[in-house]
Amino acid sequence: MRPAPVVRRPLAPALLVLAALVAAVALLAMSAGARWVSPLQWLPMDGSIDAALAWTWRAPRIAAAFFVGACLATSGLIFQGVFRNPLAEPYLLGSAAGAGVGAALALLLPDRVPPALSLPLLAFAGAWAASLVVLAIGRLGGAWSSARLLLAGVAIAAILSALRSLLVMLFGDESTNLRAIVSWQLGGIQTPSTAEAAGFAAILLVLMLAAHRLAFGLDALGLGDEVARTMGIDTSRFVAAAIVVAAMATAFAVAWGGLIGFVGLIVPHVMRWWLGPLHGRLVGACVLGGGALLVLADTVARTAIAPGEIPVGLLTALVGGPFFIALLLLRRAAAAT
Amino acid sequence: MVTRPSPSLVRRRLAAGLPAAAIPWPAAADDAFPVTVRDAAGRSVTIASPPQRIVPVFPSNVEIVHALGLGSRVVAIGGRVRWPPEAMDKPSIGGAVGYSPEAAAQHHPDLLVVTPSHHSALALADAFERLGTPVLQLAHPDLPSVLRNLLLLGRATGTLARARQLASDFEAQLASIRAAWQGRSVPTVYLETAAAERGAFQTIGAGHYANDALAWAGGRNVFEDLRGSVQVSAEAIAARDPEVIVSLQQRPRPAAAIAARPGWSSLRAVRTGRVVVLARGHALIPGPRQVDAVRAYAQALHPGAFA
Amino acid sequence: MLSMRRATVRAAGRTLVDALDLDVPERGLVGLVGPNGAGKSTVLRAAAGLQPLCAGDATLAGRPLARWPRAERARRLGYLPQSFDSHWDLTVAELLALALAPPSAELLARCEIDALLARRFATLSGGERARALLARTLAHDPPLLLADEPAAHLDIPHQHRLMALLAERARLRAVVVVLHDLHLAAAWCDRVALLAGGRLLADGPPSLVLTEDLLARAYGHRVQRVDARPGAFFTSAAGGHEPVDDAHGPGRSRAA
Repeated sequence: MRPAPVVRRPLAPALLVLAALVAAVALLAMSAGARWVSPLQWLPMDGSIDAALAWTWRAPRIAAAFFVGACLATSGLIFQGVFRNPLAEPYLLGSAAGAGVGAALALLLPDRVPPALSLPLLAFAGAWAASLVVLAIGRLGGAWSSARLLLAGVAIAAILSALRSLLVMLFGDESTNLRAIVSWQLGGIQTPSTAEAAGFAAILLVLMLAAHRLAFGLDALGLGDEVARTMGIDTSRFVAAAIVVAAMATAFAVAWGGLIGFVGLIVPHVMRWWLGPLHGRLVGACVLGGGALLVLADTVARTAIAPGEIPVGLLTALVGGPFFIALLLLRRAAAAT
Repeated sequence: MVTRPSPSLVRRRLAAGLPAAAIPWPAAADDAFPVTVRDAAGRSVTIASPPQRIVPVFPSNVEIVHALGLGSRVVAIGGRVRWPPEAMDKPSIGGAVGYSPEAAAQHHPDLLVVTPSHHSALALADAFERLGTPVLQLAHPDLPSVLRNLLLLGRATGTLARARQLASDFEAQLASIRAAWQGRSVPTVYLETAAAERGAFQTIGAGHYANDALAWAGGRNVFEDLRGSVQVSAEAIAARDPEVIVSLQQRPRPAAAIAARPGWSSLRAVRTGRVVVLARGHALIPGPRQVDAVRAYAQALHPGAFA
Repeated sequence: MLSMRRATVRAAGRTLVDALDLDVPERGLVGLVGPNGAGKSTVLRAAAGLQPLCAGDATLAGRPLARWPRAERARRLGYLPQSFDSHWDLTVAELLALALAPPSAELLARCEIDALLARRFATLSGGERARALLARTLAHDPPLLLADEPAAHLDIPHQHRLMALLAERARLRAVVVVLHDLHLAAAWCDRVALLAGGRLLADGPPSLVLTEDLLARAYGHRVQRVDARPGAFFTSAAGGHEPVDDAHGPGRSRAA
């Protein structure tokens, strides 16, 4: 039986669909929460209580959720390209755990440096250092091995998670609020000021541009290290640059959302399945898809047990895990036909 | 919409809170040994003779034991303890990263006092029960239970007279605090027990002693419909618009930092300047110093009454 | 086009290529043959810039290989590795999109893959895959093509189809191909370089290089060369088979 031909979906319509999805989810997110407010009531920015609730309290948080989701998905996309494995994601590879250690240090030492500055810096340092260690281990003995990189990542993630927990347990009570840190560790979207939310847009733009520039190299890496080198790519330098970009994205995500897993794994995976493996096509899709997913997750997090909140990282893990298993099963069935 | 609770409701609540009639033992046999007491887990624990080697685990239990004058009979402590100063010299059996049964066994304790909310403490209790060492589990869902714990420990250690003294002292202070704000309106209050920079706001609801403490201090917890320790969303706080915000912080930072949180300037507590930051210290330790916490809350809620 | 002088490659204490001299002209099909471990693939990888030389030098289009900026060198070379596996599930069209230049319709037609563009690469047959990879490698029209055993694992018709493509290309550009199969070398190459133990034993037209004497030295095994009338060949097997008349090649050999 002849295998069916595959025609890749055209990109522009797909992006439009995703943009529409983002708009729909944002609409839902603005309306839902501790109290449901219909769009008719909050859309006019007329200073009424409902409008204030939506625009003052919800909108900044929604912006942060979108930003965190977009960063996680972009980071996952780059990691999957560099490690040549669809299971790679910042959480699994220790990058998020590294950011967690950095962020924990920043939270535990609020007197030395103001957390507003130290948190993203230390988170980035942690994410970057963790990724470099994983790369170094994965490369031991010369040639890369995708499997070895993943294993190294999982090991480093475990070590760093334990380190973070230890730091928090030993020093948590001294300078800051233990419960808040524990909650943050489980994932929670922080609320930015308007200036900070505007900053998100700029940072996201930079990240997207960087990811686009990496796209061809990531595709080439997928053909094999040697083929990539014969295509003129300095693979060591390229991988190092890619890791820096991915670490930055991870750091921002962790700084504003705590430790949230699965988004970096699932979104690139789904987009690749939908749009094909060429990375240039996937950057925009991952940003929109990751953003939409996390806005939705955060909406559930602050609505389901209102006025209480569920840590959003718990939600993504609870839902993400089974969803991913379902994905795997579906793909196996499709590949078998 | 938040309304002021009726005075009769307040009175009934306070009246129900006093544990005056809670002690079941006849006065004559007050300090007789052996004694069988019932602890918070509902277990009957028999203590043969006055314990001489006590290991209290958890700051509240350490404080209660020392308040009863039993400092010389404490051989080791557990938990992140900072009070009283004499307790800090005692050997520790753990706290930050769990408790060690071996370290405790080294001291040959004849009484362990633990609090079940700490999982590792239960493992400790389990180990010693098998050895036949009496283990008392104490819980503190509200202020009256703090007093009950005092009396229970007093009975168990043969210091009931002192315990009664402390308890009536405690009640007297509570009564005087109440008298100070009596007649004033009871504001709604949001008590923040922990928070990250811009999220993860932790508070307490019914079933937590701090909720009780707020009521004794003449305030009404906006989240009293919730139970225990919970994390709430910023918009939930906004929806309930508390009149006063009390933030407990380990290293207190200026109240302006809270006012600067994005969006919080629209809260009436921020607009009217009724944001108070208190040192966390004893506020979240359910021991004899809770009365100081109640006083601190009362001063924050009714500054005019304590001028 | 490509020139190597006393090129030496050592790794893990072994000398893989020993003071090798090689000249590849701007046109023509050069075959590198020899037993396993002779250093054929190493020479090719050194030429592609994947393996640095420990001694000696190599020049590409007159400039030392090491001096070429990566991107420019990539445009001058086309490299077909021995084994290729894409980590992602690409379609043929997507694979071709990863060439250094968009392939022309003519190239696709020549490689006979224009009908396969929508197919997933993983579902192609061995021959189709080889041709698709070749199209990708040739898309930017490199002056020098380096192919490492491109005909391995292909059946006979596909082997010859592929070699025919390479030979056609060699009429206008330089092509160096590592071959295991001496028949293919004999049938298709303009020049053959015989390697053994990292050294160049002989370099010249197939009829002069693939002699019994040289082959015996290279392979350490007695070889009998049987010259058929022009236009015939057969494949040898241990027990010896009857020759079968077929299309190509001036000479072939069989193991005795």
